[in-house]
Amino acid sequence: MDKQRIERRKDALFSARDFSIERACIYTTSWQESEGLPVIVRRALATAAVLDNVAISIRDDELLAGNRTIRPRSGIASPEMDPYWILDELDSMSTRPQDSFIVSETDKSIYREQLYPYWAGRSLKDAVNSAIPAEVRCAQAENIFKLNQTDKGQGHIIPGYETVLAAGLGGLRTKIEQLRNQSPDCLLYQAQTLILAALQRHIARYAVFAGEIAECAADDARYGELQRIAAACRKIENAAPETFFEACQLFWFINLAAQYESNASSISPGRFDQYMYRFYTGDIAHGMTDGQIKDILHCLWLKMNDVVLLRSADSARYFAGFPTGYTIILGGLNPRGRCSVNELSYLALEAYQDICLPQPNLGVRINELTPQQFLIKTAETIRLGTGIPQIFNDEVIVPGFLGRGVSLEDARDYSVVGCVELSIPGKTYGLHDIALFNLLKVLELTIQERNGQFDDFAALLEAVKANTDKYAELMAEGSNVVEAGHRDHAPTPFLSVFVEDCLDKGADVSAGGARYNFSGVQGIGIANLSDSLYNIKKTCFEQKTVSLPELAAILGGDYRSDAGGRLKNQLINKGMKYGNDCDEVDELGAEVLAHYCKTVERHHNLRGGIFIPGAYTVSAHIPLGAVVGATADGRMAGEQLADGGLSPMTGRDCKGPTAVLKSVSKLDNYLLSNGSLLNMKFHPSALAGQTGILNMTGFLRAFMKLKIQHIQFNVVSADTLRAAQFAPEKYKNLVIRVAGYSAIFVDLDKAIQEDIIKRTEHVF
Amino acid sequence: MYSDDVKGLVFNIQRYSLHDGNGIRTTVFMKGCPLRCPWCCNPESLLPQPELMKDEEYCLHCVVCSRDDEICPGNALLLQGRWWSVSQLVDELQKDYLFFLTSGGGVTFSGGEVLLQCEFVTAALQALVNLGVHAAIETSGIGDWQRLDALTNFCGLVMYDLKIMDDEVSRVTLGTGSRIVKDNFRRLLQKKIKVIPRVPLIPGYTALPQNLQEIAEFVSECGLNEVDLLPFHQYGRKKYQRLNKEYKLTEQLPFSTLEIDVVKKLFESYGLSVRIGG
Repeated sequence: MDKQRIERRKDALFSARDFSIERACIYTTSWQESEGLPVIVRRALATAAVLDNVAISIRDDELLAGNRTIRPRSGIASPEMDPYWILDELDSMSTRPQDSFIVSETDKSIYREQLYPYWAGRSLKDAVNSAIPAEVRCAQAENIFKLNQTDKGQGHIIPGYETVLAAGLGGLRTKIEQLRNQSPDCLLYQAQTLILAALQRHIARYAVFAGEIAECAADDARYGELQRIAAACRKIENAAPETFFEACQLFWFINLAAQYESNASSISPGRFDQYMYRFYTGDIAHGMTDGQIKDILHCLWLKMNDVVLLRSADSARYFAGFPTGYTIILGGLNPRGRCSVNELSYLALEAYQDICLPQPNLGVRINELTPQQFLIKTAETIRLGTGIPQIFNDEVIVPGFLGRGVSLEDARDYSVVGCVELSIPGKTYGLHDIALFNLLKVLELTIQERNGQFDDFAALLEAVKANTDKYAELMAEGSNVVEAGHRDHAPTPFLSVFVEDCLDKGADVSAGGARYNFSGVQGIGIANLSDSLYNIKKTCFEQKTVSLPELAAILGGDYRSDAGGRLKNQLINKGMKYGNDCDEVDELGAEVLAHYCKTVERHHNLRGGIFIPGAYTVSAHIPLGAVVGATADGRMAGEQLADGGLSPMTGRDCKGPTAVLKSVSKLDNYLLSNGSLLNMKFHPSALAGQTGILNMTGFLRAFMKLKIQHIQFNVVSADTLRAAQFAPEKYKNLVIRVAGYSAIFVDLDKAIQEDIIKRTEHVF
Repeated sequence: MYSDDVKGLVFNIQRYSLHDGNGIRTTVFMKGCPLRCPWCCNPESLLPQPELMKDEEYCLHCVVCSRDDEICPGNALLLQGRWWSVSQLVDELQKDYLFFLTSGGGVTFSGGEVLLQCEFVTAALQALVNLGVHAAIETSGIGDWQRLDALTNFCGLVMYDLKIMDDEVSRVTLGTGSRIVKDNFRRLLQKKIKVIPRVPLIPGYTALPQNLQEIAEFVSECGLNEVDLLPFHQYGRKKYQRLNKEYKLTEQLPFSTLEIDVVKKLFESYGLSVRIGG
């Protein structure tokens, strides 16, 4: 698409956001009518009803059809998951500081009078809350861990697109019909047939609609574009796609249907450059140009910004700025371990360079075989400053999966869900974000429990580990309750069509149908924990200038005395800090993190899989910091934790980015098979010119050799961000990296803006 | 190979340096300098012994000042200059070996003036080269030829400052004449070692038409075809306060890109390719 057309589409996207009640109404009516039927069938009927009745549209200038809502970027309510927060926040939703939505008075009264009264007592939230054991509830109240996904549907998954792209919707239906004939009692097949048929009708509606509006097209060019949509829809309604355009159109409809079913974040596209490649080469062989392919990519990339998720005000603090999770990973390895970068990998980045929006959340997999040319293209894209693409390291992630019982071929096929969650596409139900575990809070609690009375540092360390064990067990127990809630109240039969081995087993993903079944739980606060432990070790047990009980008292008083203030400065300025390539402090963090990992993986979920650890915060380092008192790293009570997951505490790394990578590499990244996150901020001068690009590729290769899983960059000066704070209207398209995702800077709450500005900027 | 009896006085080790030679480098700043360039951005580099620098901004005004940088809670007191043995330094420099390898980088010795600590730096360079690390130096060229000769036996690259070409003006302004700079430069080129001349562009000092022209002539006469221009900045200004020293260029504005472009064109007219900022 030409520049003007892209700009017109961008402008049209970013108007005020609406709250949309349409899906909730259709879903609720269907649910009321299906009372008495099995849950999985009712879910299918409800999704089918949405596909049949939801209003459809094709926006001006769009080349591909399919919109989740009539108005762009509307927030869809899901009262079937949690009706309570919506009721509480109906009035504040349009004015809240993070991710606001305009709610019409009509919608408010429909919600209050019809939807809420029906769903209160019947939702997923009710089921989960009533089943959470008291002890788990207690630990949650103490903010040691946070259970997620109690108020929304199931996302965080990569559907396998290859099968449907090869067989078409008709082919898939035939396959499921055959299975159904063999096992007539299997409810999954029945449910899947209902939704697939509805999706076919949905696509047929678009075929008719596109044909109709083509008749009113302003010019021949637009007429042709709309007729192309109509023809593609008529074809893929049943047959397999043959061109890149048709494949993208089907791909997008599958995404929308999955969104209608779950209304959840991160139904991620996975390795788009791999499964779309044969359509690309086919088109090129038939005389299409790279430019024409890029036009389609432009449209698709723009559409991925049209879908945002409505979260509660609390959830929006943790996941600020709409991480919808259209995460696409380029490059990597093929099943035989050779490099799989292809022409489409390059085109995907080039098309993104023309768009520069938060979605798709592109990532690049790198390894020893990655061509320098592709790394250069990657660095050039990073230099644009949107934080995209993020980088993943095959050299540590593939072996990490082997340690989790994943086959070598599947491990080489890994991709990324949402922000940085590692997953095998089309084969995994990973509950990647089921809980966050606050490691720093565990240290605080451990010291408080005994008023700082420990014989030596080793005793303290052992007590921290023991508490980690204790609370990890409760976290696993709580996560399993949430898991059971989804299984019993919100199965996702449509999603299960695209995840092996659900069809073979006749089981929904939520009931263990997938080949790989993990539950991912994030250990948070490792940087602050390393720094705190080091300071305690030095100050209280080696130099003995302050005893631990005395320090505990000073921390309890939030460093507010004169002596406290001086001590705080000393702890900040004199103690070594994680992020400066100092073995003694880095290894303390490594020891506790490895312990957390080993503890977590001993626990089983309900699907026959295990819990796996990750280390990323999204934007949760701010709310999770708010609940921890003053800590021995010199952090004040309530102050944020280190961002990212593995990043050093803001402002505490002073030896440059190479030292940061060295510190991170000492943590055992192989164990973090649910994913980890490292933020780094560069001043644009570091990437200036061809020399800057080459230095960046060298930096990335060293990152790879250091066996760190993930890294992402903000390349923007603090001056620019400050300017954007003062004049947001001038910077409404300034996209920056928050956590495992990018967002529009001026859309973010002030606290997160400040956090991003404060992160250490590497210049030189 | 080398003796750990020789110690070097280092005031800073900067990892991830992108502008002191190729690739990602670690720059070692040696303390002590025979010159007194008024624009120097590293005033803490001048004295050949450790000194305490104080930043009033961070001072917490303890009842009694410890005068000890290891105790000072606000980090207002910072000791400039620590003694290193060659093996300690080489251990430290190896920390970023992987980055040197993947980016074509290495280690650069800067100053101060490296020639003042010739024995130590030579030993360190030799040790690095034996490890396969690319090594470079930055020098003003002011020192005995024997020293520069020894030092550059283990360098892949010499970044060589050309400041004030007139011998007398140089003597008055910087404290040393320029004849030795030119002589050493010519001798160095005989060694078939890569030399990049670097010209600090200081308004009123080096960036005078006559001087710049002389530099350009000299460089092209020597048969070189490239030069780095380092435009004036005031980044070092605060450090003068911390050391209780007077900064003479407070009123001086940095060059505009337009002015820099004029200088660039001058050098290019001598057939030299010009890099701004090195």
